[in-house]
Amino acid sequence: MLVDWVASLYQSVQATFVAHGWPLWVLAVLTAVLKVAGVLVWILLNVLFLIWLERKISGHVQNRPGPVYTGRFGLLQTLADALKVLLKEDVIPAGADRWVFVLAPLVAFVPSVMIWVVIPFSRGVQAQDLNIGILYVAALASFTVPSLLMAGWSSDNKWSLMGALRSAAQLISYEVPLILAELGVVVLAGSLRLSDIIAAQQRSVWFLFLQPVGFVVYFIAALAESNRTPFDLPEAESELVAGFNTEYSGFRWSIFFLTEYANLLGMASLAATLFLGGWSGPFLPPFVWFVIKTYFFVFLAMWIRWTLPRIRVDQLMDLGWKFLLPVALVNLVVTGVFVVL
Amino acid sequence: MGVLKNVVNSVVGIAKGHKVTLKEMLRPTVTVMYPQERLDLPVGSRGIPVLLSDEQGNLLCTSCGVCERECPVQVIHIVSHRGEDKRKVLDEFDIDMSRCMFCGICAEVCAFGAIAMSDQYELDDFEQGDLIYHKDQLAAIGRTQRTPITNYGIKTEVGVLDQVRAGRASAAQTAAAPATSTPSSEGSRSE
Amino acid sequence: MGVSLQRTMALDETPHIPGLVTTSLRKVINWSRKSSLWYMLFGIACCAIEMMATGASRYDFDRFGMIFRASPRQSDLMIVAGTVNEKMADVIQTLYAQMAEPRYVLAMGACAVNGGPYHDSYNVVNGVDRVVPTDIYVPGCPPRPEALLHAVLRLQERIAQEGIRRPA
Ligand code: SF4
Ligand code: SF4
Ligand code: SF4
Repeated sequence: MLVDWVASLYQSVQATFVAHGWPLWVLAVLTAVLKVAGVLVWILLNVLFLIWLERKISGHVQNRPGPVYTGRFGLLQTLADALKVLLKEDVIPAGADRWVFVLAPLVAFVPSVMIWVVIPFSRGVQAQDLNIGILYVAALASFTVPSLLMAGWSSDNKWSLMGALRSAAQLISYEVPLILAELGVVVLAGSLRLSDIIAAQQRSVWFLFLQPVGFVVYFIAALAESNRTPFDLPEAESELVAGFNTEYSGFRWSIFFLTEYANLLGMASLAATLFLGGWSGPFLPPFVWFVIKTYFFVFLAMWIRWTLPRIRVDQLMDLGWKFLLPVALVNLVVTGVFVVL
Repeated sequence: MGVLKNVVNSVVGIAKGHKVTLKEMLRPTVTVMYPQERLDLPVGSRGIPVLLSDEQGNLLCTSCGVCERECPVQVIHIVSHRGEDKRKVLDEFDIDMSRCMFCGICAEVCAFGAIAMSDQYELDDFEQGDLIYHKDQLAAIGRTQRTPITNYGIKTEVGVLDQVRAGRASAAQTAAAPATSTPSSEGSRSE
Repeated sequence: MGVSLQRTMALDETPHIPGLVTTSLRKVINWSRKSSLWYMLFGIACCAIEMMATGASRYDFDRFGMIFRASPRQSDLMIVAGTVNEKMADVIQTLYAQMAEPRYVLAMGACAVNGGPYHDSYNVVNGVDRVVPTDIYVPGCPPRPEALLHAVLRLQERIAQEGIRRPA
């Protein structure tokens, strides 16, 4: 319906371009800009909702209502927060490495948007169906490390630096099991392309049932990748004030905050795509299925956040290297053998 | 084998934790929605000390000054003089609420039951000077007494403190009004 | 629940924060500022316990959109809860300087208002307003959580009347 309509619109516009002899790259640029705008709007709307959801869930876990007075059910709370944060004074510390300090939030935010290029929202609704989709996502995910290191280093603050170093160590150690877990899915589907992976799940069953171990490893590692409790050591309030973003205020800080939730959303939608069959599902429109599955993982992540305490640095490393990595490796080998037989 | 047992144990533990949080999530909240509802404090829980009056509205205080001497932080300030019949007349009775600890010693030592701990506590103010409560304000709160003195405490009407404070604000406004009118009339003359 | 309550208003009567009924830029801005007063934990003595109680389930600061931030850069309201001694005064000044405008200071408890029980003692600053500009005072030793909430509500009312740029 909508998809077909957009496709036909695109074709007619393209025909107009060809008829008038206008350069086609203008059309390419225009569609790219539109796609980016669409993805940005999607992310911003979702993040506004996610933050509200997080506060509501945290409230109800603790038997309190969370925000209630700002709009109905406090739904406008995040809007008020965003507006206030934007209007706050923008402090750049005197000792800060100015350019690095200014760039760090952008370096963090841009990859979290770029991930959405390959995520399939619905049948055929995908900004670009890359044939190396998973590789692309894995490569972008590791961009978080330099951005956090930049933020921590440039702030000229010991807490920031400690937080940044911790996050670098954490992200690097969890990258490996994360990718190994994704590889299990790739071996089953026989392709790195995300639409192929969904198609493979439509042919058989959801990979959650074929790859339960891989799923658990993926989920734990993804939680660690998006810096969420129990793996939020980089911004542990009780030890590091606010970790790498201690010195950030106002607008720049809000970008970090936005990135955190954009990453959570990206992680959840990728999990839905890889393990729950993405947009495929009976009765409901594909896009609704996609949203439902994504929010299922979001809820799971929030539930975990408000249940488990933060773990120690050494426990973090132990879990990553001594447990998740071997498990993921064994899982991959078993999957490979299974596929070959 | 040890590793496996560890894994199983931790998974069971984590699952238990999640069960608890899920259960709590579905339970009704325990929050007191403060501006609309408030906890009903028992009589004798201590808010600010207030002055009590008899049925005719006269203060019970005899200006003996015991409370002033006994107050551990010395925030009570009493001024009195001898009237015609040699009885003391209370001129000033100030309590500096900004330092009062609500310990209740003043109410305890008063031999005449003239001072009691009310259940008013929303004392916040924008100026420190406004936190000194004078005789009339303390008496006004005390006159809204709803329960007999129990445990040196009484209950007063809900929100009476706000009313007393609003009264002070309006008094301050009327006092300031003539002062502000003068410069504005001058300004109109210079035009 | 085991507590008895007094109703003072109808529950659905929204006390102070208008929803989308915003008419001018100033109102929108002030609405956003007052509905998300993130407070910095500054618990330095016994009053801090009561501040934590206000943040916890029974009274719940989050209802008013108030969450705590550990870093002064991201907080709007410094709740100084406790005795300010000479050593701490420097720290308070530093942290206040690190907060980004618009910033507010709430003095919680007799100690923070003017020294309280330790008024005029050798080591205690007679009130936090001797070191940083204080917006609102909440006496009590310690104040009840409701008293703190009441103070925050009055501060919100005051914020709602401010200009777009705070009066200096
Ligand atoms: S309140 Fe009681 S103790 Fe205090 S001066 Fe009056 S009569 Fe004496
Ligand atoms: S309650 Fe205690 S501190 Fe307050 S005025 Fe009475 S004696 Fe003084
Ligand atoms: S006012 Fe009282 S409760 Fe608060 S910090 Fe001072 S002594 Fe402690």
